Amino acid sequence: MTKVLIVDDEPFVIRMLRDKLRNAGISVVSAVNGKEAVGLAMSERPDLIIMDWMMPEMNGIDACKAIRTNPEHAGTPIIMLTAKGQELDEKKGRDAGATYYITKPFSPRRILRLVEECTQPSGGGRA
Amino acid sequence: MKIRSPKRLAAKILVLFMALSVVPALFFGARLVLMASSHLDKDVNVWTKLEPAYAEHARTFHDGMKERLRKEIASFALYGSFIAAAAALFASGLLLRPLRKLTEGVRHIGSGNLHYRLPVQGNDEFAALSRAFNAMADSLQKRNDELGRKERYIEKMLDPMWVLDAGNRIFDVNPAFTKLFGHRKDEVVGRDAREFFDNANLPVFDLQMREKRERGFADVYELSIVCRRGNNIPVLISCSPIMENGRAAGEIGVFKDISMRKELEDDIVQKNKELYALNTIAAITSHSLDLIEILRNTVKEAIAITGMDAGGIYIADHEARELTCAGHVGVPEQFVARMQSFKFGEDLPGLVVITGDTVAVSNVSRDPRIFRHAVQETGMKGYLCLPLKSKDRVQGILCMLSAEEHLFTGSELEFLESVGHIVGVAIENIKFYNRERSRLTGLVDLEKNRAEAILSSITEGVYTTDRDLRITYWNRAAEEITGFRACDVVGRTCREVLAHEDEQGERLCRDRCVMRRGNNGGEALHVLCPTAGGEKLPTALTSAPIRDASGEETGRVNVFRDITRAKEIDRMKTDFVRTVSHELRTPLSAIVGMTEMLMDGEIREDKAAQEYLETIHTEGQRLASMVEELLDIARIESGRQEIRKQAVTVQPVVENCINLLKGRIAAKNITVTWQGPSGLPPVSADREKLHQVVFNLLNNALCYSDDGASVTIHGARRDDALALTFEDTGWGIPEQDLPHIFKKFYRSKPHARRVKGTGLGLPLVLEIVKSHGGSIDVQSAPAKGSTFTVTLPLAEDEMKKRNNESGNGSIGA
Repeated sequence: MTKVLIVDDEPFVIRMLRDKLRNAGISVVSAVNGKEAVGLAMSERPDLIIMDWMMPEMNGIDACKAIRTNPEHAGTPIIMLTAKGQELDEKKGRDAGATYYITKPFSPRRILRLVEECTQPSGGGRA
Repeated sequence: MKIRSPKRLAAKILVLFMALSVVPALFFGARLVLMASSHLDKDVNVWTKLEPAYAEHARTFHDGMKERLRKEIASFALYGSFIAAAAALFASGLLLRPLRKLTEGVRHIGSGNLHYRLPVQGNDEFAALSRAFNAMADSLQKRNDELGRKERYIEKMLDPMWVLDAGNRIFDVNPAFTKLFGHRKDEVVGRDAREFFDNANLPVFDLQMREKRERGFADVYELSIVCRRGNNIPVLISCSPIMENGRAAGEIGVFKDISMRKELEDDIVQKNKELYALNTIAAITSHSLDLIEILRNTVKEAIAITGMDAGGIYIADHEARELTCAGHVGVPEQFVARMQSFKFGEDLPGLVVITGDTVAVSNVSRDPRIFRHAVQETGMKGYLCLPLKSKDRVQGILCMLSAEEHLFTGSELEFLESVGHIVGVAIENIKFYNRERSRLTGLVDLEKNRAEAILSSITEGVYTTDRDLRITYWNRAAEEITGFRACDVVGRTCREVLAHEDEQGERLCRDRCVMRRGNNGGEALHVLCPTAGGEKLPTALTSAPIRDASGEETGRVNVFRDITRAKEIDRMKTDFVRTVSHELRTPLSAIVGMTEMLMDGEIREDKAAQEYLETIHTEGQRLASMVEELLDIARIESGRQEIRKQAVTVQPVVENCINLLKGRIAAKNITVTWQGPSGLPPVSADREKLHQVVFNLLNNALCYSDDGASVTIHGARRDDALALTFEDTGWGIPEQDLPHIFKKFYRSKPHARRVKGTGLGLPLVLEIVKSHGGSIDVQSAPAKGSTFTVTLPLAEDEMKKRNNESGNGSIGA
């Protein structure tokens, strides 16, 4: 079963995505900051990570970089889901290792579709 | 050879001749007598012997015979001697006659009668001598005639001439010399030629003599000879050395009188000087509009050209009927004051200004027209009063004085009158110009002052440059913006002062000079402008050409503005928009995402659906408050803030805020304490605004503190106001940020990294407090905490004040 790690300091974002993904039969783990996320990425070995940027303790960018240093996660799709909507921000995110960059507000439907695309054995590559 | 006198020769011949003729005659006569006597004696003796009678008789006879014989011999000797003497005399006479003739001839020739000739007779030695003598006389006469002719030439010569010997003494002069110089020949011959030169000419003469004579060639030079009367006559001397055996034995000098030429030359020089002076005066009058300068220079020129000693120039004021001195040169100090001004009709200048006729007096002391005048007291003699006439009236008077008698020539007066006319016209022109100028200057000054006022009051830096980009004007704002004083930059090129750089820091002067680009001065260029403090200030610069009447660019006017603040605000606004958009995106995520989920029917449980709706609602409200806050800012910025003041008790407001922030307080485990006496007087405030203040300050204390910190809110009466203090043990504010925390959009960097915010909380608080007539104060130390103290006026004082006002109003009514 596909496992997704959701990292966000806003509880309602986690709640919303967890409900959406679980309804689709995807298992979900969540973290409220980057530091926690790096730990969970190691222990839970998720197939996909949805990462916020602006978070206390450790932000999403640093977390992405940290996760990518782990060879196990070198190819793991990371969807950066953030309120920072500038072009420069997107480049920063992708440079840090994000596979997708989606700005808030977002459509849970679209996230689900993206997660499914990424995790199906045939289409599971980087876009 | 010793020449014997012919007379003595003749005497000797005579004596010789007599000796040779008389002595033998006497000898032979004596012998004859002796012989006859002896013969007769013998005869007697015979007769005595033979006939003694007879002897006696014979003796007597014989004695008579002897006696007669002696007598005959004696007379013979006497006659013979006489004849001999006569013959000798005749012979010597024959011998002496040609000699006498020769002597006479020589005497004639010697006395100058060169026409005398000796008669030539026969073919003897005398004839030959006479012929030789005559030939000599012919040759002499020929030479003499020639000399006479030459003498006549010299006598008739028109040019004076002298002949000098080797010692420069005069050997000869001709009548023309006497005629020209007055020196008679007998007076000058033998005198040193150097006596005839004055000190000025002598060195020239000496030099000429030395050089020319030594080298032995003729030359012509110009000198002046001192005449008998003592005056000098300029001459041209053609001098030729007289060479003897290769040495100069003297010199012939022929003079050419050049006094006429000199006079003409002097005349021409004088005319030239006059023309030059006229030209100078005309140039001064046409190029200068400074009346005093023109007049002073005119006086100077006129004095210089006429050779007079002093002068003054007066300007006529026809309304006051007065002449006023505008300038003077060389006037004795003690008379300057007396000659400062004259009424019309007073003194000579006063008369001339009325008559308009020049008065020239060669000697003041001898002129009956001049009396009791200051001029006489100066001791001056020559005096001239010249009217300076323009077209229709006398504009002024030029007075000139000379220490010595001055004879004014016609041409001099003519010249001076031309000067008078030029200066008169100039004075009129200048008067007209000055009238017009003062009128226009008034207008221009007004315009200038207006422009000056505008330029110094505007906040934009304005400077003007000339064609060479030299700064010609620098306004006050330019001083304030750059720190360069006008007095330090005016006159320097803008390249020296303002080495503009573009925003990338590249030099714009030279090829990319702001002034040289874009002539219309439309769009502002953003350039970095150096300041006195060495900073580089971002400025917006526009540059426009200043054109003269012909449309040619004579300079530029440049306007610049410090855009540091504008850029800062710009940056802050960008940051604000980014922050706001970020802050808006998060609550929107809840609304958009959760409604989508609900619509998709993903949430089946009622409880979950309920929770979703609550979140949507909360986030919706968050959005609304943000919009409200933005609107508040907009209101603050536009200065429209509606405040409905009333008496508000602080404590419930504080408690309400604590209650509202309960969630955050709990989450961060922060202790919030209210410390206020129970009977705190109410403040005069808009309840909503007061709430905003308390909420923001408390929220800040919570946000910028670590978990477990404590926040204490004090309330206390301080004089006529209430002080609300928010004291936290949070992060504190870095010292460099402290002065800026009340600026809109400003956020301390370390705080901004850790806490979401708009940068509008504190500015909003400040604006509200200020609008209530209160104040806010902050004290903070990093890692120790911050203390914000808000002071608000008490409601009772406000009421009292208002009551007093209305009470006074009613009494007054």
